[in-house]
Amino acid sequence: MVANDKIKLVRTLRDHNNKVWSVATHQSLPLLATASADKTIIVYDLNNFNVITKLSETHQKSIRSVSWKPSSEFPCLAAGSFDSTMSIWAKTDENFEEYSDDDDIDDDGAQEGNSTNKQWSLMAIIEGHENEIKCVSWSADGNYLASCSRDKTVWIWETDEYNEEFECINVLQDYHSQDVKFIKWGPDQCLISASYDDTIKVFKEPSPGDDLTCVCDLNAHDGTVWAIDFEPMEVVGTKHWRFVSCSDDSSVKVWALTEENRSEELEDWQLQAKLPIKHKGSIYSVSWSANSGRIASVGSDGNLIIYKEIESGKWEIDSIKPLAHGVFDLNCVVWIKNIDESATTERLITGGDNGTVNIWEIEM
Amino acid sequence: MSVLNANPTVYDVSSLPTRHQKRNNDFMLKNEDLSLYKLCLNDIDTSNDLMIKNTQYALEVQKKDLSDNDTSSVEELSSEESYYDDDDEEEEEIDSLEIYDLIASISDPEHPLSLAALGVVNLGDITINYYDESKKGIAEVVVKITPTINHCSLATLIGLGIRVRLERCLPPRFRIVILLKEGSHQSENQVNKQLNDKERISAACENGQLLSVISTMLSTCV
Amino acid sequence: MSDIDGKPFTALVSDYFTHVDDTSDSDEPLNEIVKKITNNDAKLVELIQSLGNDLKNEDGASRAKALGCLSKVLERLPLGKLSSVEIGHLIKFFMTKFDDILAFKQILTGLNSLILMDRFEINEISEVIIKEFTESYNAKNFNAHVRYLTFQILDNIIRQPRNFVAVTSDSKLNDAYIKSFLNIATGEKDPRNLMLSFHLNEIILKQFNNIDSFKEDLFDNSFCYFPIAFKPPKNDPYKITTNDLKSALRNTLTANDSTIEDLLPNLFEKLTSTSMSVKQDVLDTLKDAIGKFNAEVVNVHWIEIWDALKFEILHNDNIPYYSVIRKIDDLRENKLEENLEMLTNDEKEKKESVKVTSSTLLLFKQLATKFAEKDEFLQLYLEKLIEDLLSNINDPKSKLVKQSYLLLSVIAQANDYSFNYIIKNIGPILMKSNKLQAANVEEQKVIIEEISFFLHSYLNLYGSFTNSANTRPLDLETNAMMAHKDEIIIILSRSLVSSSGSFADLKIQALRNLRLLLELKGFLNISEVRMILNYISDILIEYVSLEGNNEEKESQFNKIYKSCLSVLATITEMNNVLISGEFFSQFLSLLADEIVEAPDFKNSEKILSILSDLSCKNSNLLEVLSIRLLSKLNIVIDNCKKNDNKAADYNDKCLKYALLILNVLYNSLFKFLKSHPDFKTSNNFLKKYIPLLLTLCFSIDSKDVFYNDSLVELSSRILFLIVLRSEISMHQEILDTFIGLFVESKATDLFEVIMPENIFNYQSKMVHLFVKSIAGIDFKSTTWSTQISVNDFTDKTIELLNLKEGDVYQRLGYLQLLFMVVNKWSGSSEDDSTMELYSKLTGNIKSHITNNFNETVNDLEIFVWIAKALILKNHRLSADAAQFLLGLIDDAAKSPEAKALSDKICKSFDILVTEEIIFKVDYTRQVDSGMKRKLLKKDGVNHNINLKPLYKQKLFEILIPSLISSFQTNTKVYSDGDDENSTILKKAFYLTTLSLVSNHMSTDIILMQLEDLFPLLIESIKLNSSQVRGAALTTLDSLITERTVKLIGNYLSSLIPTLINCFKSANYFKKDLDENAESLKIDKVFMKYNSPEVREKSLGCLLKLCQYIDLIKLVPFKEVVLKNMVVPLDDKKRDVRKKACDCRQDFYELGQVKA
Repeated sequence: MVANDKIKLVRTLRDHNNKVWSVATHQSLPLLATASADKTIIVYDLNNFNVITKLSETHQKSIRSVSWKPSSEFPCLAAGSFDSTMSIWAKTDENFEEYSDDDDIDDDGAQEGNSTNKQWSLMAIIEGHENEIKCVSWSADGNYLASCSRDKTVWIWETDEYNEEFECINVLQDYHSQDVKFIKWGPDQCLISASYDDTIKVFKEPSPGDDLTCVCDLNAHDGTVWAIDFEPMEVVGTKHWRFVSCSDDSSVKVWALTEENRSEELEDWQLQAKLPIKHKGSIYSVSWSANSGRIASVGSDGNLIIYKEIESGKWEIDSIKPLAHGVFDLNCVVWIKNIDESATTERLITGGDNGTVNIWEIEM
Repeated sequence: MSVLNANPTVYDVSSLPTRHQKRNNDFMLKNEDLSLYKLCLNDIDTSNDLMIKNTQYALEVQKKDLSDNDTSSVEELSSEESYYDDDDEEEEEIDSLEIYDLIASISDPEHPLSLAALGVVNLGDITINYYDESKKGIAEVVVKITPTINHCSLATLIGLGIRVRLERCLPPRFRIVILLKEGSHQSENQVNKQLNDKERISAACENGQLLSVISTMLSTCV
Repeated sequence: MSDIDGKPFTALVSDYFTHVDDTSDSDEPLNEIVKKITNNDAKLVELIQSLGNDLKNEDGASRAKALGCLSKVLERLPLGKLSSVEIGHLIKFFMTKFDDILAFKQILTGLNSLILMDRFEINEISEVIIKEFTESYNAKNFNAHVRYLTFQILDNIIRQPRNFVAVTSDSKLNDAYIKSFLNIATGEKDPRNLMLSFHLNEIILKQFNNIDSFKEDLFDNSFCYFPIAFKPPKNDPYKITTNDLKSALRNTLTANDSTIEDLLPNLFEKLTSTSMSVKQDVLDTLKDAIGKFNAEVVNVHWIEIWDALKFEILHNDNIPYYSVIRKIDDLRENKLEENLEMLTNDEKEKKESVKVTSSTLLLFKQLATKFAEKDEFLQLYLEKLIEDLLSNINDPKSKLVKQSYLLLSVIAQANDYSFNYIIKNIGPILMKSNKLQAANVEEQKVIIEEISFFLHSYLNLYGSFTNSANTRPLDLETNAMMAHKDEIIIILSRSLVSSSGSFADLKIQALRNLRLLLELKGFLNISEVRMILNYISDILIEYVSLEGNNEEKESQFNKIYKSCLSVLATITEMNNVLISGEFFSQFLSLLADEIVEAPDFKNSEKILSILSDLSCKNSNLLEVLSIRLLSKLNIVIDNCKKNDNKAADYNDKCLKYALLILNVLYNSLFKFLKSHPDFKTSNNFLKKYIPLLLTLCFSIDSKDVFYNDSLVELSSRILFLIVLRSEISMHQEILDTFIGLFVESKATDLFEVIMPENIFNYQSKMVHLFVKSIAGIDFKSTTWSTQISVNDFTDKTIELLNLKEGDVYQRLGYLQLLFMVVNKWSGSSEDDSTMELYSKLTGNIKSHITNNFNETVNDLEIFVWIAKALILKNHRLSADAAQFLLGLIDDAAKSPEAKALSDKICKSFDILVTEEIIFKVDYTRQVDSGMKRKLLKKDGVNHNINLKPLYKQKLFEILIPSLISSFQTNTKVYSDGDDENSTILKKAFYLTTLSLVSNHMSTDIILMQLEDLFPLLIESIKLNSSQVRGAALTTLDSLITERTVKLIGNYLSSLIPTLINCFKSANYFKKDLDENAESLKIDKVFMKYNSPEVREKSLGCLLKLCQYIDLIKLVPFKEVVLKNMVVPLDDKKRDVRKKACDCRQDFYELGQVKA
């Protein structure tokens, strides 16, 4: 039933020399960013995995999370670090065209020394949180940047298109009683946060421009909720939203919201499914594939597990890759969106405690 | 709620279990006394003598190895047949006593005594569960500690000290779980959760002031 | 001759005045003056006249100068020069000036010198001096030096007996003297003055009259200084210590027993102080007082002492009884005081409190000894004690029982009468009150401790059987303790035998007191000693016959094992026949005579260890055991031969059992000789033991299982030790006997033993017996036998060796025989023969090397042992031999078996420098005060091999440079004719030899050549051979020290990666769990040679680098070391893992600041 040779290792990137905490792919451009405990962010070209640039010497402590700004002009990313600050990086060079997707860069690739590196520059350092920042996330339209931290708060920042000015427009306080581990903007400006206090909270703007208010409070798991991921919108299309959460209690749960139990002040998310328990120990990251609708989860037991929905609300394990990073923990997983409809395979990226980033391939 | 270890009874360290001192029994003639055979030029076939385990003594000069070996030419000269084959080395498994020996001599941040002497760590409270029977893959080390006083800050510090020591001394395939002994602490669950939150621990390990306290705790490790 | 103005002194006086300040120049004129007066060239009065006007001058300074001149002259005049009249005039002259404050010091010096003169006498003139000091003199306005002069004057006045009598007999003068003393002494602070003041005070109290009227003042004048708290200044010219002051004060306070009424209350009042040293001062003063005052006076007041001091003991509930009793024994033997500065404060505290407690107890004992002369006083004293303490002892609930027993036990040490009186009164209670059956462990412990107090009293009073110095003769009938002897034995033995197994510390206490019981002179008779011996044997037998592995019981026995041994050791001292007779027989009988089905060696091992532990401390026990055990071994061997039980491993078990016994024989002998450096083996060993051992060995047929290397080796080493430690005078006879036995196989009168075959016509392992025996013989005082010359002997041995027969051990025997004879007896006279032998051997090797492998190896081996014999004694040929061996590699490289040959040559170097156990001279490295390291031969144990201490140094000074240079020449250019392979072979050879040889070198020698040696060492670590890599790592480890840190510092970039490669075992990568593994750049070929030792040693070196190399140089490597260290952390071997943990921890801590 569970064929684990389906998942093939395509490439291993060894440019970090400490834990890889977070990996993120750009919504539209072929860019991959990896954040590590060695206090550096490395940007790769997603086609050939050459290093485009290495962003370092800014943070005093590990970089925990990295997120691409959805806007398509200049690539811009935000990084949150244990040193309680966020850094915003962007590629400001006008002649950006060089990088259209099918551009074939000569095969010695973009080593650090490569000329393009100079265009990436630090746009801003954002302070505010009292202690370690755990996660950063851009809103779908790229106007808002959210950050959460151990100080139990979530801050919402507004920025201009030049990514130089960042202004805090809202602080979500007294919602979570403990360290907020993860936040993610969902479709139509809704924001979901997961926390050490075992709860998931959903925030929405009652009406556009208003402050975010909590519209749903889920006692989701009996352990720290480490991460969530939304079901990519285009696939669903109907007035029916879903997201998946993973936790210390070794469980992965899918939550659904239907139009009828959704109002201005309240969104009544329901537990739709509990995926088969296979992981031992904490599960640190989940990702929902836009192409196949499959969910991938990784955890401290070193396993990469992929689940598929055989019928609505009913999931089974599609395949498992044990010891994906040797005996080390896996910290993050993300599917790569494949724009070529006819593709028979799809790829995903994992980052682990042994400091490597692995690129896997699996049939659809 | 009675706290197990409020005023710490100090154990006599010499009676605590350890593997450190090697039992020597100079009763039998030690091997090196009898290793006269080293002094003989021609190759020795292992004599059937009961008492004497002789040491195979021949210079190994290896034939040139074709693999792309960047070390300088001298190395290629060792002979093939008599290299040291470590497969037949008898495996000494990592067991709870070894874990105990690693953490017993950590010094308590408050009392000038070791965690073992204060009864904070005990051999009985250490278990190793292997995920697979080959005992080679990922395994979990569970250490239950009995803190001396029940307010939380010290217990977390001791837990962190033990975790840092084990993370430095155990191969990466070991997952370290540190829990408080049942009933030894009034906010037992919160402390347990904090002790095993990987992310908060990594962050703590980057906090300079905390690291120097831990480094003092570990400086007495023997 | 007289001066210009006719007066003899004017010039000299003026000369003196000009130099008055610096003493050296003013001496010269003074001596002139003194000379003139002594030779009567001039009169003193003339001097005074020439000083005349200065003496009366208003200016104080010139007056002082004139008087100074006069007094200094008087000081230097011979004591008998002046007549009493002249002295009188001068005294009067000085007294008239008494109130001249400015010149007061000179006046006193003058007076003092006059008083010291022979004819000074007490008369109405000199009386004035005494009186003056009572009224007009006021100590406060003079400095310490002047005040000292006043004490000197009073002291000197009564120095001469007639003057002393004159003063004391005249009541007015007597009182005046005392009053003037009191006047000058009040408020004195200066330690030097105080010493004199106390001295005078003591004399007055002791010898002056009419003391009563001055008693209070005299007492106050001394007691006000009690207790002395004086810290001597650093550069005190007079070197007065605190103890000097204390004892001076004590003598004053105890000078006259009439002051007792004032002394005691004041002393007791000081007792309340918490400081131990104050309490000790009080006790010491009381001790002196009781000692000096006469009995009547003491008798009146002892009750006050008793009431004041008894609670110091009774109410002190944490007396360290054991150390107090030991301290009392020490004080009795007045062992010298342990200096307390070295100790920490609380240790000092403890020591001082123990001393106070014991001094208090000894005070009470002193009272008893004081009254010993007057029975009725003693009787009163003892009755009062018993009356006071009996109530405590009788009341079971009282908490003062133990203290009371302690008090009584110390007082009982005073004399027979007290001892018997006390024991009679409390004996029954001490014993009866102990309803032993009911007593639990704790109670038993207390009872035994209380009894032990009185055993100590007995010991102190009557002494032990070993030393009964300064103790009283014992009168058995009347001794009160005798009556309770049986009860004591029962109490001790019962708690010993009580529920065996647990309560180890109770048993230890019982055993300790049984030992004490045994030591008491004349207390136990032989049957009682035997009874105790049986108790111990029963315990040991139970221990020895424990079945299976009973961990718990085993550990209990281990705890009491030592105490049992100490009891047996005491019994041995008393009467060793008891032990060597009955005890040995009992235990030897427990040893099986033959191997039974499943022999439990554990128990026989225990029996043998008991016997061995006992006899390795006492020579006649050792003799008896050796001989009896050897006969047991004979029986075992015979039984094994007779028994045709064909179980597969039956013979092996017999062999193991035999080796076990032989081991005990060797170990006991070795331990005994080690701890008795100058013991000479007795005739029994030579005449009885050796023949027995030789007969046993010769009776072994080469097909027996006992024809075994270990058995022969152990026997030979026993022979070696016995011969080594026999009288030098016997060595020639022993040498001839052994040559007779082994070479001519003829019987000898020394041992009646026949050797069936001699070592030449029938090769056998037994040659080792011969080799090790002659190894022990002192070659300086013996000559080789006349029957067969050294040359014939060596030729014959070489012939045998050329046959290449027998196994390794046997061949080694003949090689060592060759070595022994050449090293010790091929004296310088036959030098050419050694030359001849030497060139013959080198010739053979040269001829065979390129064509006949086996021949070459055989010749090479013989040559090496001969070379070793020569090199050890720094023979002329040593250097040549070493060079020859080195040169061989060039020929070997050409031969077909080049590699195998280079193996052999490397190994021959190893043989050359390895020091075998029999001729290892234990050099103890002595670091003398000048921090220079000297090689000192260990005293006592000299092994008679002809071995010059610095032979190794010389050898290395030849080898190392040539090895290094040959290596370097080989790396650069291929010498013609050599193909690439042979150059590599040679390089490997040089590196291997280098690391093997440096392994045996002392680090000092290596340090001298470190510059060029170090890079080669790193190269040899990389050599793919676990032996060579191990040896190189060991040498490297010994090289990392403070001295070499700078040099090693610049090799880190090549050294650390090599060490990292060394600590990885291939096993880790077989598990392929670490997906990261490839990134660790592992070298599969290299790893195959990482034996566990190599892995552990490389980690050891890294640890040492962490310790010595400074931070900035190491930090760049921190990252790579930590990452790679993951591999040894998962090593198969626990030792490697442990080293990896320590190493990783240190590397993590690099640069980490501590809280």
